[in-house]
Amino acid sequence: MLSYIAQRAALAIAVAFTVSLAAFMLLNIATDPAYAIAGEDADPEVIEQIRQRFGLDRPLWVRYGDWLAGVLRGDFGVSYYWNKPVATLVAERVGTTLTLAFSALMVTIAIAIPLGALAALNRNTWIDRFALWLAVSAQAVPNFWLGLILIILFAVMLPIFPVSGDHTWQHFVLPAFVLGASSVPPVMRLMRTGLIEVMGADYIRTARAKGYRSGALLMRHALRNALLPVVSVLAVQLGQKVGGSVITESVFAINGLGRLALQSILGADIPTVQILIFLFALVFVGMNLLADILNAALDPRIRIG
Amino acid sequence: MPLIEVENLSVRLAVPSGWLHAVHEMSFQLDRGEALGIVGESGSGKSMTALALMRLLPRGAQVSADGLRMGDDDLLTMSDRQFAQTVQGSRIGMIFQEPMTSLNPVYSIGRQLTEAAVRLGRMNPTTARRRAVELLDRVGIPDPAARMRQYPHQMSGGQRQRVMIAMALMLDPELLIADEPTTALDVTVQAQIMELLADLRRETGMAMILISHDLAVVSQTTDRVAVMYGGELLENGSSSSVLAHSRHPYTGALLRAIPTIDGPRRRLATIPGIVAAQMAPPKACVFAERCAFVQPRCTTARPPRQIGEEGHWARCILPDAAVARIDQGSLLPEPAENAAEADLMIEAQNITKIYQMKSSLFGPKKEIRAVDDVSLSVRRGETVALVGESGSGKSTLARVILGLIDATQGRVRLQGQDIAGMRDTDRARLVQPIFQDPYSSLNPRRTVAEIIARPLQLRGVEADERMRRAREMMDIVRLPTRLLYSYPLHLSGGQRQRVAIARAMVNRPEVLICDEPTSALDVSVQAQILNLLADLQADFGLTTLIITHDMAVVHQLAHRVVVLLQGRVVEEGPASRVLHAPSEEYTRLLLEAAPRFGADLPVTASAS
Repeated sequence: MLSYIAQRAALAIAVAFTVSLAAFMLLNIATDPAYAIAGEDADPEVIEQIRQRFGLDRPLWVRYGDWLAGVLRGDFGVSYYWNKPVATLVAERVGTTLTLAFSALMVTIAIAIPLGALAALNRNTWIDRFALWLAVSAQAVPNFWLGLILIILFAVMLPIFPVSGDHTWQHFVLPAFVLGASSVPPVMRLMRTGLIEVMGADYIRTARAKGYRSGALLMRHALRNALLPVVSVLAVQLGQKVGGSVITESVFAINGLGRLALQSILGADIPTVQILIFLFALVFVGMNLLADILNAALDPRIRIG
Repeated sequence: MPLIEVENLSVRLAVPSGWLHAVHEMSFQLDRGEALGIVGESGSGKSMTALALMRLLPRGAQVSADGLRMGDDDLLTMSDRQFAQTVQGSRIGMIFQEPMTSLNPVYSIGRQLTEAAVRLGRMNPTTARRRAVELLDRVGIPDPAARMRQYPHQMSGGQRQRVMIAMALMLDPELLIADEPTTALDVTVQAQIMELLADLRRETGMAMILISHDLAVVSQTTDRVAVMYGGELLENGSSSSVLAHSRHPYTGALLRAIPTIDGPRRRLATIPGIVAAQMAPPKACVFAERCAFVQPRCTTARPPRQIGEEGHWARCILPDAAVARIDQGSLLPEPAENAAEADLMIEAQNITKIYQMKSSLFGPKKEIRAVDDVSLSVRRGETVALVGESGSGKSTLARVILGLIDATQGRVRLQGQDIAGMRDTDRARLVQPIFQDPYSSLNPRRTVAEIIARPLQLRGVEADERMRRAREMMDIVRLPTRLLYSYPLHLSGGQRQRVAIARAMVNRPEVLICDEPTSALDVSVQAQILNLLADLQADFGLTTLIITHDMAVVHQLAHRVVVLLQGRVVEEGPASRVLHAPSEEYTRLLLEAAPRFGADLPVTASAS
């Protein structure tokens, strides 16, 4: 088990660094950082000075090596745009984003799992069709639109929640719902198909032959098997929420990593963008790693080969 | 008072085209401690009967009955809740056909054994655990206390079935229902499980319902036998009586369709046609369409029960004497065993196939020797049987010979040519396979004609000629030409296997390699396919390598036998010698597992 985790972790870290390498190359080839720092209409001489001052005249792979060495020392570099260490920028916002991501995940779990189970247990009835309709609708609705509608309904017309900002927990209710709702369709569908398959399995028949029915049958024999594939997808969804809350954070004016990423990209702030991509990749592979570990914990066939 | 009384039990299932009448007015009784065998081919309604008794029918199934009693209790009026608490698992235990999937993969054996007893409040966890360990020990699981912590995937199929049996016995049920408990297991394991069930019944005095497609197995283990066909109970009587004096033509035909390892080789009696689905309650004899003795009356009214001695009855209008007239099949020519001068068609020399498995990405490599230094030769016109259980390497060896996988060591020559240097098309003309599962080995999107003619198309034969040859092949394998444009979906298992044989034979290969060609088929259909293979042997002088675990199939077809165990040859010799005087213990075990009741059948003079 431990060696299994160690292997997976090593692989995960390797993937994260590969992503950072690709991002570094693409960013530095697609844009000229010196231009970006100097701003539009700058003198070619100024640009050349900047290039030398920031060491941008050295070959790409040397600069990547520098950057990598910095990251490994914990030195994330300095933002061109904010004129602050990137580490500070990230530290200021990471808590907000994590709060948002985890609350969104809770929303997803709270809606998708019961709904999927309900649909599976009442297969081909109006309940199933209603759940499917809900899933399709949720998938069709864009995040920013749902966000705006919720703001109008629950912040403007019925002022229950604040319109924007990130100071109190009330601020997180609407954005967490918006961000969480976007993950409901895939998770719900997976829960539904998983549970349908499990409920038709031979071991469920065995459990029924032992006198298990309805609730106890579901909780004690079906759920764990049905959740196995769902766990993996939930972990991936959480990764997406950390890195992909750009739109939701913008709509609700939440000062998180997503918004920072957007601002850095618009400001061509390459050091910040680079670190954010690396962090998002790290979160993503970390979540996949977590999913593997959870799956191993839930499924003895993986745990004990 | 009987333990179980079933009166006119009917089950119908909602299917897209209406109601399928899976069981129709089935009645039987079972005394305490008695064992009843319910026998029938697939679709006969035998499993549905058991599932209806246990209230385990799929959703969309409707049950009706005039009476369903267990002792004093009326099971018809009992609520689901009460049934789950007082009957399911506690008074009736059940084991199933699929031990590999019938245990929950994510929970330990111990938890699965003890949970129901604890939940129902019959035992506290400590007592339940002690009882479970005792039972595991009783059903023959070594080191039972340690096994309690293990998970199903750490056990073999036979062990899992033992665990299932132990689980069913936890609450001392009065009745154990075993639904095809050994069908998915290796033959030697089958025999052990059946013996275990018989012993347990003697020890505990519980009643048993054994459901099986295998009349031989059932008659050896049970007191009474009920024969089902098309949802209808056709014959019911004591096992010995049903076996020796079958009163229904279906039972008689079924008995003669089973190949045995005793006596001279005969053509197997076949039952023409296929099992038809009953989409309406039967108003005539359900077997009339396939019956050799059919009379006009049979198709106009449901035949009454004719009750004979000791309650042995049959739903048939014929007098008993008529059924006894069923012909023994005509004798097949004894295989000429002296083929020493014929050409060598298959020469496999010192074949070794090693699979390398890695338990994890960086884990150590594990080597599995699927085939370990096996040599095999087959001469022209010979039929060699490769016998062994799962994991013996017999299918791997067949795949090596077919050129589908490469051997790790050793070489294969077909008609003197090394297959390593042979073009695929040349090899395919020499040797053709027939696989076990006719449901998955045919392309579902092609018509029968396309499937059969495909090998010709690959060789560039003209369309007209292809069609002519496809028709010719269908004639040879006795498929009606009206099926020419049908898709595999619309064919029965036996018809599909005929299509597979026709496709394999269309290019007139020298060698046919059949991997368990009949083990997925019903008995009556197996008989048709075995007869067909015997005919092909005789008519085309075909060289055949048959892979099987069934010694009766060996007796029916083979000249020579090679017995494999764990990738190695343990015994080899002429079929007549190996079947009657095996020199190895393992071969003897395999032989004991084969049905042997053929000699008891009343022999009648046969015209043919």
